[in-house]
Amino acid sequence: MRRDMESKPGVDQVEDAAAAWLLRRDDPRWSAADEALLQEWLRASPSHRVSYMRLRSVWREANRMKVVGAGFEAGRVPPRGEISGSSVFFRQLQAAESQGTGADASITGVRAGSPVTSGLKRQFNRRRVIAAGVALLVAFSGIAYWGSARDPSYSTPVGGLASVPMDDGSKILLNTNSLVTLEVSDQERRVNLSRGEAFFEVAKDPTRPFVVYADDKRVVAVGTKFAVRLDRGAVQVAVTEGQVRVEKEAVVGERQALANLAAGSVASAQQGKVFVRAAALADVERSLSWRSGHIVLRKMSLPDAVAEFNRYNRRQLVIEDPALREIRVGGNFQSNNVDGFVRLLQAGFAVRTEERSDRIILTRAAPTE
Amino acid sequence: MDEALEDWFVREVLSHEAALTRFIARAAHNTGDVQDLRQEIYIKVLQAAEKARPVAPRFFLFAVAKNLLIDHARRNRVVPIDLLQDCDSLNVLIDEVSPERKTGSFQQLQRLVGAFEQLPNRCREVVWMRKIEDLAQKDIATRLGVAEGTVEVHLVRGMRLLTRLFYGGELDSPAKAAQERAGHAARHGK
Repeated sequence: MRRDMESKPGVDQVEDAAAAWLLRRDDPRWSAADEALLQEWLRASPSHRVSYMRLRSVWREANRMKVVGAGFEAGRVPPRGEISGSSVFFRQLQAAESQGTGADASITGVRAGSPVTSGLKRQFNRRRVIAAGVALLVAFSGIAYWGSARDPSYSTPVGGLASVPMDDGSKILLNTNSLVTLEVSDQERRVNLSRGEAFFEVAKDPTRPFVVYADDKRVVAVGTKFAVRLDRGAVQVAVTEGQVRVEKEAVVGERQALANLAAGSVASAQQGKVFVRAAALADVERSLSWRSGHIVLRKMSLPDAVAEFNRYNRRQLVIEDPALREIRVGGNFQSNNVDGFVRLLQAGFAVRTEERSDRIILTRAAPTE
Repeated sequence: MDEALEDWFVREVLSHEAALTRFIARAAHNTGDVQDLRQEIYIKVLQAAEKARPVAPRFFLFAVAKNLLIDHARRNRVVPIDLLQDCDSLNVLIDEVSPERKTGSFQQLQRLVGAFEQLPNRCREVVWMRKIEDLAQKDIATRLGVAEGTVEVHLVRGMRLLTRLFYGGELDSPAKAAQERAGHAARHGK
């Protein structure tokens, strides 16, 4: 009664097979030969493709649950019902949601301080240049890993989001198109951010400072939560808890203090200058909503909103009509929902769109009357 | 597989799964397996989209569903009256049964957690270790003191249930679940 076509495999079997493929694909032992077999399996039947896409859509979505896991001790699965009740994430989320538009942010310029030389001189610059070509990009989502056991590197592709647990209990959450290398020694927990953005949840350890190197900036923290982003020559730091210090280290060992940042600060460091913005904590949290796979726009100009979406998607939005730059938009979007965003623009702002392979061109719609 | 197509399919087709499932269940009147019928509808929509994307995806999806259900009803010599309605009333039907689309993206994460919380114990445990703690299958096996194959069975089941719950489905009754598990174990005996 259940199935009238016994010759064809049922949906249950197809889904089991699709799920098994998805799991094996995450395995580090996955090879090019395996990939070829998978592609063959997908080509063999549209039913295979349907089940594979369907399961993958949720399995991928489940990566966003990592933010929910923040605040729970590792090595123990929280009992049922505890997650939505006590998760740090949900509390922050609710706070951010109820805050509404948030307080006005003020901008203060901070002058560069006097150079200080660190007592700890490094013999040589160990920061390494990682050729883009070696990236073992795990196709589609997920995290790529390589490097030696001592100094492992982690990266995410465009649209990716991944957490990197560290041995000391600290956690790193990597945003889209990002790359970090860890160098942990007895004196220092060093993280090199070579590309993109990462959020750090630092475990307290006064004997070993936690230092993020981005460009020629050092961001030093002891037991705190903050994010660092590399964006076209500028290093941006957002602090959600505790304190961090931003320094410049143009020459190895010669450090120059730039700014001390308290929770709620957003700083942008470029060359020797730092701009610090004291924002409402809810605003800072909101700017970090990528941790749950979202983009939150608050009265943002269209060019800024477009730049945000373009960080997370291979399909790039292009504004071709300067008149559109004046548009301001707001709303919460899943970071991969370019189409939803485009539809809203069409509906609400008389924007016309034209799809060209991997680009979506935005122009003004001709008046209808 | 074409990634843009996949994104499209997830966003424009799968997002209507709860509404589609209710539509099938209502129209098919227990004359066939909802999951199988739904899969057939998805296949037809996907194959059409592989050639050219439908302009109005939701409408297209439900039109395909309607045609397929009519065919199915003819084979069963029963034609449910609701399927013979014109397309306009079908539209109304779709509008009232698709509230999922209106919920925000934060709610989506909450829905995911809600689905996760409904998983049976072992599935919930291994999915947490795999997804939140990023443990490899091998390491989960070591931690739980079971064979790697066992972990895979639970993960497969967890992934399928999570998907079903996320898209608005329900857990089966314990009896059916047990039957499914038995079939599952037999197929994955290696």
